[in-house]
Amino acid sequence: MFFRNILYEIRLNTRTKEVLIWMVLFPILLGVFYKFAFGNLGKEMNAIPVAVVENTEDRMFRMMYRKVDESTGGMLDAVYCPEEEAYEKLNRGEVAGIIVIDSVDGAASATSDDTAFMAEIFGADWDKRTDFSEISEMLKGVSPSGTDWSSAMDKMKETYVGETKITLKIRKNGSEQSTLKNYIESFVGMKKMARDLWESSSTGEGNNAIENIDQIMSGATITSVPLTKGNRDPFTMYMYNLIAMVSIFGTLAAMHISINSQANLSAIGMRRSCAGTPKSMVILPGLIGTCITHSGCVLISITFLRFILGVDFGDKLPLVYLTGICGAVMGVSLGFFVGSIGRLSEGAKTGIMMAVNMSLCFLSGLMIDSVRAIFAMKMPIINHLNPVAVICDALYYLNMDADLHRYLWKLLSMGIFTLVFIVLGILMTRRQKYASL
Amino acid sequence: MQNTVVKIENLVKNYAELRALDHLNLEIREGEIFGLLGPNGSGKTTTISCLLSLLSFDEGTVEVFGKPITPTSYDIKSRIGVILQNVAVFDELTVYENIDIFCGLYIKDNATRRQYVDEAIEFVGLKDFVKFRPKKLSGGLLRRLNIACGIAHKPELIILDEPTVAVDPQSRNKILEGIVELNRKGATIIYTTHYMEEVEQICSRIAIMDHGKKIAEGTKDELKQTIKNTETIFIEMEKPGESLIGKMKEIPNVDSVKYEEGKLVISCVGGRHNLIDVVDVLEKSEVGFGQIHSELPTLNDVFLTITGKELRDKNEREEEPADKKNEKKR
Repeated sequence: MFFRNILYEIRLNTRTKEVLIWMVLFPILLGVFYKFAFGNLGKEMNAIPVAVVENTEDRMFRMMYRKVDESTGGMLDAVYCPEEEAYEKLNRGEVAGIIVIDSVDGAASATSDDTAFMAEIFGADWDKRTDFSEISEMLKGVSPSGTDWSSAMDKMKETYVGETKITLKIRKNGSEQSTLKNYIESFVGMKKMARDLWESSSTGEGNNAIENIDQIMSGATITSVPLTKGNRDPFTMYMYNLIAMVSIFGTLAAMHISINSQANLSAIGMRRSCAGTPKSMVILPGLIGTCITHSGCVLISITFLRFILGVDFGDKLPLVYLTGICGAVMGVSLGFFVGSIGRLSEGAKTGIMMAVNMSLCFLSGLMIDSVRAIFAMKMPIINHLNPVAVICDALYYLNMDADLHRYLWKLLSMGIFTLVFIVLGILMTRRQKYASL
Repeated sequence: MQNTVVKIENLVKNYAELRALDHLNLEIREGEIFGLLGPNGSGKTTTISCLLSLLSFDEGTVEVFGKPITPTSYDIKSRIGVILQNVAVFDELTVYENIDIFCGLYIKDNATRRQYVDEAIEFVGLKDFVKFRPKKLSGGLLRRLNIACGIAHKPELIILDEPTVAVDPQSRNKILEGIVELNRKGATIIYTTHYMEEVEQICSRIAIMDHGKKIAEGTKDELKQTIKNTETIFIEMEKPGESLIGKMKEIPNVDSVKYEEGKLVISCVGGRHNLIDVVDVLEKSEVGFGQIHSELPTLNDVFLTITGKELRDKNEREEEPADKKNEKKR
């Protein structure tokens, strides 16, 4: 009975015109519209222009900049200049932001008095290295014995991974600024790791520590927020929103589950409530069947966007599909919950849900792409509580982050949303007797 | 003695200030077609909802098949078939699929279920429409589908809540015949309606309800015996003189004579063949008249006698199917 009911649920959904229109046809048409309207946005996009103000030298920043530049083919276009000039550029809109590197009060630094001492141990050009692999090579020929070795390594540490304060100055919010913010966060995380590694190294292990830092810089053992060659163009951002919208439209497909299982909401609900079967035998197959159907719709939309419109979702397409499915399940659970509230007709509930869905989509940037970024800066709680924004963020992190840390958190958020909606929906629909029908 | 299938005792249901059921008592026996007759708002559907344990009630007890029914009495519910006032089918599924999905809520075995679905389709005469969606069906066929969905699992107790509302005469007769057939096959039927003709036609016992109370109960003959009127004669004519009215009143069995809405209305309280005497007086008086017909007492007369009002108001009468109006003329 259970599986037969699932099959009937799938049959019901696939024969409902409204479902097919809103879940399949509408997103495809909207995708095509976006393609024509915004399809060229990404192509016009160049490296993000940024001004770097070095009030103190940060070698690691320069090394990282070069690494990222090599791996992404020119992600940032950095101009090193004095602070005043940087602000002028920012005001004229020539740069997306200013990265200011300041020294930290009380931090140790290499002094000129040490230069001779260091040159004696490591050679005359000991402070001219531009890569950790070079530093590693340089250290190979040096004997670790001797009382000055520890002091020499400290000088080396302050030269290459000395503490600095990095600040990002921006005038507006947008995807470029968001990327810069990620960049800085990533750098700060990596540098802290590098310092920790260096500090934990003993006299005899200094060389190993630097090899490890080299690996970190190569992105091999990174655990913070690294930067990838992710697709940042606004068109793709709109596509994330589109997928999120299709996913959340599961609400429309799922409302009938609760409506058709409650005697006070529909004639079918009344008939089912009279049957010699527990409600769970109707509700659970309904949820599963609708999840299957709606996930199918989302997968069709993603496939269309990827392979027909050629949207670049990065190199983790299976996870994009997984995100779509999770979003669809969350949408279905939300619809089930809303359907179980109050005694409005299905038509009225559909209208309300449609308005709510579109509002959520607006807040996540479906209509204006910077809206989500504005909320991320001013009221991040809105993005955390908005299911559509959660789906968008998951897709964004999937594309931009080299690891899955932030993505998995968003996936977990979706799971929590789903669980909460289903539990609330079941609490509302489990009622067996009614005060009026 | 027949077993009691449904026993309702002192049932009270209030909707805020309104008392929908007022200490209602009913006992329905196995094999009966029990009619629950009453005007709209008399509490018929509320009674059925309480009986099915859908509605909470304030006082009283409801027993079905000898056990108190609760929302989780699935063993009892699986022996009940419900045909609701509103058609409860899925527009997206075909006739066959609709019957199958609802039958599947009761019958787990696939082969048995398929057999039952086929039999239900055959029973309601929808064999030629199995692949049709409900929207393609006429009102009558839709009602038949609604019935098929409720009876496919072969329940022992079938509850029909006004199943012929807005149905054409042909379909209505088919539905009523089907109900009698279901009863003949062993099902106990509870039939609620405000159409007294249907109740008279098929029900073996009838309870008349008004304002949440049972105001009368018995077979149709028993109920009709509770009123003194045995025949009413209607004569279309110009307003008669006092002498004619006097002559009419002298006819044996005539209880009252009054002129209203262009008709002379003669109520008789004895015998059922007073029309000949009335026509005889008209001819002797050489008075012109139009159509003349007599009506035997109906359940409406019973209701009128007990409550002082009609079972249905004028608007409802105008909405009823044409054949029902014709049936009144005998």
